[in-house]
Amino acid sequence: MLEILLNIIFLLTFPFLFIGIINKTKAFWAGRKGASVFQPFYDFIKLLKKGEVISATTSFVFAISPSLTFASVVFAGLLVPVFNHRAILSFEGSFILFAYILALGKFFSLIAAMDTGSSFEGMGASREASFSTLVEPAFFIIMASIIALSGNYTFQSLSLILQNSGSFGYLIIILSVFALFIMMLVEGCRVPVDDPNTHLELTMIHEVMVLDNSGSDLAFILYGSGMKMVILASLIANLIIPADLSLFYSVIAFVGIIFILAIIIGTLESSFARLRMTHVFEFIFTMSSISLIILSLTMISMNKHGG
Amino acid sequence: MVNMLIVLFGLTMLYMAATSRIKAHIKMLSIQGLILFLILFLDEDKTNLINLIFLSIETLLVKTILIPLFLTRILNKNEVFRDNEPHIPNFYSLVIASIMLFAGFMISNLHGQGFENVTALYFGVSISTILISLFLITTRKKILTHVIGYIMMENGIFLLSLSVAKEMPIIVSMGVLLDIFIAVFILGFLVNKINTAFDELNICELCNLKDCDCND
Repeated sequence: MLEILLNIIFLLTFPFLFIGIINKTKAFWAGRKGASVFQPFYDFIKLLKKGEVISATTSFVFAISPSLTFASVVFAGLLVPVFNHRAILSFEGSFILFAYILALGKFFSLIAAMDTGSSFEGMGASREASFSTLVEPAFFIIMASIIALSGNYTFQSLSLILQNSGSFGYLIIILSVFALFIMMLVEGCRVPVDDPNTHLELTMIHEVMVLDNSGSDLAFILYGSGMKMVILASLIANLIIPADLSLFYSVIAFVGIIFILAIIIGTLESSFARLRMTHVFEFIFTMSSISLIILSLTMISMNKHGG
Repeated sequence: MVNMLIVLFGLTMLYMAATSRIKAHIKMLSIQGLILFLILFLDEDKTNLINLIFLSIETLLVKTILIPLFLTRILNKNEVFRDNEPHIPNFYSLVIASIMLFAGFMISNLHGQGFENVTALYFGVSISTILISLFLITTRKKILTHVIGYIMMENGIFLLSLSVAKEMPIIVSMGVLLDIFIAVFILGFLVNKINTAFDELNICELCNLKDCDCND
């Protein structure tokens, strides 16, 4: 019961903190004092208080899509184990539902962007869709390898790699962390892929898709994208934290890893420029290459251990 | 640890396929030399001391420092910094390189079941390194990239020799060393001569090298 409560509190509060820490880190590297870590939360409240403007050319799709996207992200969050490697909703093969429920949310944000009829938003939607086509197969290959290695079909398998894989275990963990980190940057639309601060429609990807949203819709879109990053970050934390840690230590380790990831992203954003659009695909494809390496390592390791 | 280094070696090949900056290629070459040295140091049995010393000097001094320095000098002398417009766009060459890496692993996985003393990981990465560097040689246009691809192929052969022939890497690496020496030697002449004849170091220019019509 306590774990479930902690999981829900984590899921609801950490998106604000995560974005806040990224912004604080960026401010630190730029030599500024920066806004408070809780600023995203204040922004969220401010946006909720505002009224909403809906374009007259849009249909009902535009109206329902922000809520649907947010709901799908929250649902995906319930499937991911947070503290103690136990998810609120956990069953065999839940990673497939996880991937597709995120894809459903993304699909609705795409067609909502198309629905506005703005050419810029259509462009953003097209880019977002083409990035997702590269990310999804890689995610499935990685999860399939991890599941094959650990013999557990739930998300708990993430923490069980070391027990069955012998000498390749650490290698597979490092590569998976790296690949999931790339996935987090792509899904969260952070810097090498997309710049969240950009204000030129031609170069925007995710931000351009939500140009027409305002008020509470925009608030929930921002909250949802933060939550998506936190969910992917908790997948990474699950990989790193060993399975047999007590609840207290695992909470500390978990929160620490999430904060460190936020700081790493902030540092990356301050030290890298956005990649040119043609190079973004190469960057994302790295994740697929790494997933293929993970798959081959899994096969070699299973051959060796007769798994 | 050795496994990690070998996979890192494979990743340098992927980076090679993805980038078109020749400086980055040279950097990768030097990193590969360092990785080979570390693998040698961690994995080789320390009984044969002369063997170990020779191989360490070869990997650390020649592969990591001398060849990259020499190539950097040529690079700065001729002012070619990018391998622009390869025959295949970088994204596709990255895709093909990853498929080759995967295929190498698969071959070694099939192979590994038959033989006891060949490590599957060594074998996979070295086979795919050889394949990827051959692929890079055929798709890139600058002579410098060709030589770098050639040296990388030698690195792959060296890695293969580490995995297959535990007893005689010294003979293999002497052969490799000779090959590299000749490659870099020829390159030194070739690049400087071509640079005086043509403006750019493009291999496409070499198609014009004919005896009959040199007046145009």
